[in-house]
Order: sequence, then structure tokens, then C-alpha cells
Amino acid sequence: MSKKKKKHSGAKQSAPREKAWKLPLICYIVALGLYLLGCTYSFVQDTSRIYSGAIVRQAYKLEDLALESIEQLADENGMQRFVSTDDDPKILYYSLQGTYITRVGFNATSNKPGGEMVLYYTTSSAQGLKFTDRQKVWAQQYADGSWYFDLGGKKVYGLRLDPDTTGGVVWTVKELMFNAPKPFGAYYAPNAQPMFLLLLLPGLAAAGIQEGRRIWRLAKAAR
Amino acid sequence: MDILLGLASLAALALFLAYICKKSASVTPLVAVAIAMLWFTLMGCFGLLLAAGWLWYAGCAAALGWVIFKQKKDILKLVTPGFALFCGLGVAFALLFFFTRPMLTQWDEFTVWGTAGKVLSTTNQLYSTARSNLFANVAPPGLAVFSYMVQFFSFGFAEYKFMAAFAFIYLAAFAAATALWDKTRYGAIAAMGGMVLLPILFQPANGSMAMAYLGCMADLPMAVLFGGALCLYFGGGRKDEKLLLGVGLVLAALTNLKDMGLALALLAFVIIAADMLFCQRTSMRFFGLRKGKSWLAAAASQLVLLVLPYAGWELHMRLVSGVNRGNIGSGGQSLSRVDMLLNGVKALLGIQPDAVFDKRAVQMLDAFLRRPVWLFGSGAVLLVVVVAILNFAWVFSTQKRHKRQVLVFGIFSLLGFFAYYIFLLFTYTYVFSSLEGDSLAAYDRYVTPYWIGWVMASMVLLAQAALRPAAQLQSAKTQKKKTAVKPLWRPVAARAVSLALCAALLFGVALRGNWRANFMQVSPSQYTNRLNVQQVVQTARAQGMQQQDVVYLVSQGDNAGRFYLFAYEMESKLTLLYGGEEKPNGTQASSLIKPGSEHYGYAEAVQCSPQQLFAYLKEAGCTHILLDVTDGYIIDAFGPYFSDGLAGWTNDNSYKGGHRYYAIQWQGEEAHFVPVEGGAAA
Repeated sequence: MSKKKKKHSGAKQSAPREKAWKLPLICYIVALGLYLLGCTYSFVQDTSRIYSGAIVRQAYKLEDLALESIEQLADENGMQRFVSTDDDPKILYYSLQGTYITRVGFNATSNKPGGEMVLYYTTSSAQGLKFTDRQKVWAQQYADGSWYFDLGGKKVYGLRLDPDTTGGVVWTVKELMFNAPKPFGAYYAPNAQPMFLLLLLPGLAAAGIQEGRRIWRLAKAAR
Repeated sequence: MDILLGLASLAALALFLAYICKKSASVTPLVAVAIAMLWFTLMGCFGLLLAAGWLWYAGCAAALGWVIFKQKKDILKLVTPGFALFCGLGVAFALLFFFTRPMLTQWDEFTVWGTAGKVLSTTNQLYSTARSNLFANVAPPGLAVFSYMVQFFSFGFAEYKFMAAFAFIYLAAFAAATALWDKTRYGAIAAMGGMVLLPILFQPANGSMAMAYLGCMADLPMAVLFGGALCLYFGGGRKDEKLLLGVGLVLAALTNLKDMGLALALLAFVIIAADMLFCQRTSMRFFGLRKGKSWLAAAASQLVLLVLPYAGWELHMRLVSGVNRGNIGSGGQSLSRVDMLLNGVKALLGIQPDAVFDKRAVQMLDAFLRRPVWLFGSGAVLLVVVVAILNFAWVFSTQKRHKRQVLVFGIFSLLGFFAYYIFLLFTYTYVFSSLEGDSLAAYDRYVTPYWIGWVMASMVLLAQAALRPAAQLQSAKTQKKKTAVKPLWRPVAARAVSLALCAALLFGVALRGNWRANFMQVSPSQYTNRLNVQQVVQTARAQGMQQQDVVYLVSQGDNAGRFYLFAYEMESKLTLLYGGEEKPNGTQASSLIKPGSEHYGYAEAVQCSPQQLFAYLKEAGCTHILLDVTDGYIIDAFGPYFSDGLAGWTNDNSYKGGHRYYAIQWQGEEAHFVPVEGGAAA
């Protein structure tokens, strides 16, 4: 008798629980869909801009750019070299016209560890060269050791590359390129951050929505 | 992935405690963490870390077996949302760190915390007794032993496992903050989400890489154990001896993290004792005692528990290494803690005016109003938020007892904050060097523990307003058989505010947080220095570096940063560097320059002739020399003493090849440096 009762109550409990799976599942599917859509969107956007000529792949020499706290050295083996003269060296570029930038490639090696490498950008001509901490990306590295920065197709007006935070670092530059090639796979590459967020955020959102609905129901019933 | 075994052992013990003590499994992981820290510390003090580890894992397995044997299928009934979230998020963090392999990068991690963890995992001894060449320190060992427990089954020491261990501590404390939501799992998930975001929220938006969940210093663990102890007390259910002793254990673990932990533990104790006195005296029980007696017994046992680790460690250090940890003065001056407090109180009351104290007091007030401590600005703004949360908790409480509880907590936590702030003022005045004091060095790091704990506890009090009466209504509902009992509006409002706060946290972090460089996505450029030092050490090993060597490091232009990195990476003993006449005992940063010359642009330049260095090498008993960075002076003046004449080294401070590791051969008072026999060539 008691066993039957237990079973019965168990079935009763499991009925709403089945339903409870729905919302998290929807949240996860929607989140995954949005993520893939975002990847595809940025791929399509970049590709179309490349074909329309809005994105121009262009390599730069040091003399095309403004240098601060940087001293250019004599070329070696056909490669440009420079040394940072204090702990805040800057390579500056400002077209002030608004150029689409996807990925900035900085294929360079240093004679000693340079520390944090970042790229600042500005998104309006009015901003001039006022770079802020809010508009900044950190360097990532290819397997061969060369560096790149992902800006994700932003329309930028100025760029500022801080190659090191040490000072006295001698850099040998193989290539400094705006809109460096970004392989198709890179648009969908499963990095740790989106994966971790995809794992946790949809669940959190589902719980938040459910809790919100419950509060709403309680509030309607409240005195 | 042996760290998952560490997580599993905590979960097993937590389930056991939940079963034995009949407490929510949301709060028991925190107690399990505290027990782990204390158990390993105690055994470590007697040199029994290895045995402690095997006993720990055997004990946890047995505990789990016992619960399964007793409960069979009903074991799932023990599982609460908070417990499940602790386990699930623990696995998530472990996986994240396993794949991303973050490294330590901050100064203190190499001078204190990371080195401590490494000593334990590589020697199976506490750093007070270990025969290791890593620099020993005198801080209490709570974090190092916890990391030891988590990576017990690995060979050696891994930094990502160290970080995962820290994450487990945070998650256990956050789970304790969700205990009141046990019956409402969506609320529990939302609350946990809010808690997990707290460390990310509590770092000033200063444009640097976000270090939450990456930094391995004691501050954040202190914050969550301080907050966790309060959450455990306020949200852990009936105030009986099991709960109150559990709180005592967490406070003891807090004391065992860092000396500042004692201050925080005492403040948490005062807040809890006040609540027991003013709000729980009639309902609390302590081993059959009631009312005033139970209060006295509970408070006394908690106080004893929290002071014991401190006194024990003090005694251990005195017995083992003869270190008097009581001296906390800087710059060679001696100062005991009691002196510091006395001086501080005298200056505060104006009995003994102190110009430095007055200056620091103004600075601290200014810092409270202006210096950012979280993503949305200064402590003053934060205080408004905390007071607002407590106000909501007070307004939406439906029971007088809860209202009084909120009021008592508000008053005592505010007083506690003043006390903590004044204590920080004392340390900035009397302990820090004037240089560090002038800039209030690491101000945000030092105040954050109280803020995080305060916010955690306030959220629990708000949840109490939301959930306690609701539960009572539910039981009334079942008793009276559907006599339509309408829910009260105040608890519903409190619940709505609680959810809104979590949502606000999420949006705030999403808006202001650093999504470019954080614990999920680091920039490899952060690690160039680390990797370079590792490479140099590897080269030196290939060139014949052995553990018994006593090594002198030449790293021209270093500000001690690389010195500590080398000390951390090498198995051999690294001697202090030549400090000239000013620092006859040696220093961590010295760039050798020609006698009579200026500093060459080096921050820590010391005039040193070859003969002076030889005398120092002999006195320090150095057997080998490691070249990290040389310059023209080293090559010109010291080159002749090297058997290969420093061939391959150039005088522009950069490495382009050249032998790195030499043995010292004495010819009278003159040292000659020759490559180690059998080692690889450059």
C-alpha cells in the first residue's frame, strides 16, 4: 500500500519535472543557435566586405606609422627592427576615416620577454587619439609564435599597438598587417570563454526566467 | 584530472555531514573545506602530510560508503540545489583550467602563496619543516595544505590545479549562501549565479587583465570564508551545537589563511555572537544547554576554535624554526601586534598624536570616497548598496524577530566595517613601509574581503525575508487542506528584489567586466616572462644544474621580479644577491655596476668589483653561477674569469647564445667559472 503510494507520488512529481526540462533545453538551444549565428554573421560580413573592397589587407612598414618611445634600428636580414625606449612604447596609426579591421597580425619576435601586449582602438573620428581602457584587445598567439589581435570587423579610426611593457626590448618585425587573413575555422573555433559561458549562462537564464514566473504568479495571488 | 578526486572527497564528506548532522547539504561543503584545511594543517605540523592525505581520502570514501549503506536510494534526497551546484560548477572550473592551463603571474604568488603550494606538493612537508630550496615563508598554511589535498594524487605541483583548488573554496562558500533556497531550486541557481559573479564584480575597472578566479592570494579566500561563515550561520537552519560548531570550524579555517584572517574571523564572531545574544537566546540550543548558558558556551567554543589555529601556528613556527612571527614591523624596525594596536588606539584617541597616522587617516577617508574597489566605483557607493539590501530585508520581513535580526546585523556589521577599516589604517601606518603607505598599496585588495563577505551575508538576510514565512505558509496550506491561504506580498517582494539583484549583478558584470582578458581567456603575452625564465632554468639544467648546487644569479636590470621567478622555478638553492655595504646580508635585486660609476639606468644598481663579488660568493658558499642577463660591464670585468671568456654573450643586454651555467673553481681568493663537466654545451 505504502509502496504504491510512494510510486504514485513519484509519478506525480516527475510530471512537472519533465516539463521543467523544457525551458532550460530551449535556452541552451537558443544560446547555441545565437552563438553559431553570430559566428556565421561575422564570417559573412567579413567576406562580403572583402569582396566589396571595404576590408583591405595591407601590410605596414614602421615608417608608415607614428612611433612613441620607440627607436627604429637598422634592418637585419631584410626585416625591420626597433627597440622600446621605456615601458610604454606605442606604435600608432590614425587614418581618421573609419576603416574596417578584422584582425591585426603582428609577426614579430623579441630578444627578451616583453610582457603584456595590447592593441587600443578608437571608433569615432572625434575621439582622435584618446585611447581608453574600454577599447582595448589583448594579444593572442598563433602556434608559430606570431601575435594577432581580433577586433571583429570594427570600424576604427585609430589604432595603437603597445608591443611590450618592459622597455629596452629589441623587436624584429617580419610583418605588421591590418586585416590579416582569418581562416574560416577561426570564426567557429571553440575558445574556452564562449564554451564556458555557453555551458553556464543558458542554465542561469532558464532558472532566472522560471524564478521570475514563480514570483509573478505569487505576486498575482498575494494580498 | 586528479583534482576531481579532491572535489569528490569534499562532496563525499559534505554528504556525510549533511546526513549525520541533519543539515542542508548546501552548507556542508563549506564545513568540509574548513575541516580539510584544519586536518592537513594539524597533521602537517607533525610532519605527517602524506599520511594525512591517505587518511583523508580513505576517510571520505568510508564516509560516502556509510551514507550510501544507510540511505541507499534515498541518498538523492540529501542532495540540495546548492550541493549540486557546488559539484557541477567545481567540475566546470576544473575542466576550464585543465584546458586553458592558466599560470601564476602576480608578485605575491611567487614570494608567498604559489611557492608555499609548490613546496608542499613537491616535498610532502609543510614549508616550515621541508628540506626544500624554495624560499620558505611564515604565513599560516591553510591555502597551501588545501591545494595539497586537491592535487594529492598528482606528481609534483601544477598551477592550474592550484587555481582549481581556490575555485573549490569559493564555490563551497557560495553554495552555503544558497542554503535558504533549498526548496526553490530556480531561486538557488539564480542566487548561486549572483554569488559566482561577486569576485568578478569586486575588482576595480582599471583596464588591466581581470584577475578574478586567476589570482592565487589569500584575499579572496578570506573574503568567501568570512562571508561563508556568516551565510552558514544565518542560512544554515536551527541554531544548535552542530551548526554553531560548524561556524566555529569555518572561522578557524579563516584564521588559518593569513594573519588578517584572525581580524576578519573575530569580526564575524562578534556579529554572530551579537545575533545569538539579541535574537536567538531563547531558541538556540547547545548540547542541551539553553538560553544564557547556551549562548555563553557557544560563543566561548567558537572563540576558542578560531584562536586555536593562530596560537598553534605561532607555537609551531617558534618551535620549528625559531621565527618570532609577532614582529610585524617594516624596514628592520621591530614592532609587535599589541604595540601596533596600542599605538594605533592612542593615535586615534588623540592621546599620542602621530603625524603619519593623521596623514594616513585622511588618505583612507579619501580612498573610501574615491578609490574604486568594484566595477562601479568606490566603497561609498557600495555602502549605499549594502544598506539598501539590508533595508529591503528589514522592510519586507514579516516577523518581528527577523526585523530585529536584520537590525542587529546591520548595526554590528557596520561597526565591524569601521573596526576593520581602522585596523587597515593601523597597518598602513605602522606595518607598511612609508612608500607603500603613501600610495595605500593594494588598498582594494585589502578592503575587498570585508565587502564581499558583507554583501554575501546581506543577500542571505534578504533571502530569509523572502523564504522563511513562505515555507510556513506552505505547511499551513497542507494542514488546512486547501483553505485558500494567500501569500503575503512582502516575502514576494523580497524574492523579487533578490532576483533583481542577481540580474543586476549579471548585467553589471556583462557591461563593465573585462571580457577580453580574464580567467576564461588569457593573453599569452602575460606569460612571456614566466616562459622565458622556465626556458633559462631548463637550459641550466641541461648544462648540469643539480639540486644540491648553491647558485648565484646574474640578471642585470632586474627589479627582483625575475629573481623570485627563478627562485620559484629552480630546485637548487638560490642565494641572495650582492647588496653592497648597504645590504651586507644580500638582496633580491642588484645589478652589478663598475665601482665609481653611475647607475646605468638600472633601478637597483650596486657598485661591485670582481674581487668584492668573489668575497661575497665565498661567504655565501656559492658553488655555481647562473647567467640570465649580462651587460658590457659583466662581459668586460668578469669575462676573463670565465674559462670560455663569455663567448657568445653580447653587451646589449640581450641573449643571443652563450653558456649560462658555470661551476665556481677557487684559486685562492679568486673565483674561476668553468662549464659543469658532463653538462651540455651552449
